[in-house]
Amino acid sequence: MFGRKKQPVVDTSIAGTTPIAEAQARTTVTITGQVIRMQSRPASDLPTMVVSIKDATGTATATWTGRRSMGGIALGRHIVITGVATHTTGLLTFVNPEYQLLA
Amino acid sequence: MKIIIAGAGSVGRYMAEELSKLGHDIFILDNDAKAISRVVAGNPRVTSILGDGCEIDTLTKAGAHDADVVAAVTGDDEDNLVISLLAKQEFAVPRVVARVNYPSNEWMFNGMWGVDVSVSTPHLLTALVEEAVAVGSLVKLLSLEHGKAGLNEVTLAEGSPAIGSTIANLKLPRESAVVAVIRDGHVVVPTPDIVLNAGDEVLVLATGDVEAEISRALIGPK
Repeated sequence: MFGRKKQPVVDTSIAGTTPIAEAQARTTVTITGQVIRMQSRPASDLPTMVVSIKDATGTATATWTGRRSMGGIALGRHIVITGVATHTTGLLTFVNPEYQLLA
Repeated sequence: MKIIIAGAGSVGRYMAEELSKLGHDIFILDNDAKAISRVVAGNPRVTSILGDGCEIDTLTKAGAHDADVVAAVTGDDEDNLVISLLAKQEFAVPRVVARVNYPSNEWMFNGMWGVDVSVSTPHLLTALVEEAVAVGSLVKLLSLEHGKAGLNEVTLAEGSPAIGSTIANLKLPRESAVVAVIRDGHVVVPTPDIVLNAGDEVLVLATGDVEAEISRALIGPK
């Protein structure tokens, strides 16, 4: 229904990625970085998984709604995120982006 | 502002007309050609688009990439949720408003589906009816920010501790503010030195769990 598959794909090519500091809001961008923080909202709240990703230029946040974990995403892991981001909170934030795990 | 309205039923068309009068640029879409044909033509601020709002292509055509607000106001709650999710997830629209048709679905209209603000007609009507008949009790008119903030109304009954007090001297909690006083059908701007009378409708905006304290200040101890 939503046009994009969310299954993790192992891919070592990171061509076409944008440094986090240069990523534009509200266009499709691909960033890559290391997972530095993972947060899962408590059971009483809406199930949401929030992950912070850091590259050499900055930090971005990816939020997945309706989930408490995302397959393969773990602290220290390098991942690639593709999606449309906002800048509204001053931080580059993706909602339900596509992701890839890097080996 | 650029506003996309999904659903050109009576609600959507009314919104398009009113919001365009306020100077907003409206893109209204519906997959029913008949509904689209009823959108008043000749308004330069309103663009109507024939297409399914649940499709990314239609939202792209409507220019969701730089829309400030998307309002999903179709008569179908499932559609409204899909439109909301797409607007948030695929286009990162800053403000997504969704209409709840069936109150039993309201629990789903939250951040998980990309909804920033949900408006439930049945709930709104219940609140308005309650507000019309209730004197001396706290009525919640609107929930904002996913229920973190709320607009409450109290019609001051005889014997309320607030009568004769200035707004500055009300013992309102810190996380609340009087936003308007309605007196004899007129809006009174709530400056600190306004003295409240019996029969005044006091509108209080509050965040957090302070309803009990507001009740104490405006209605009195239970």
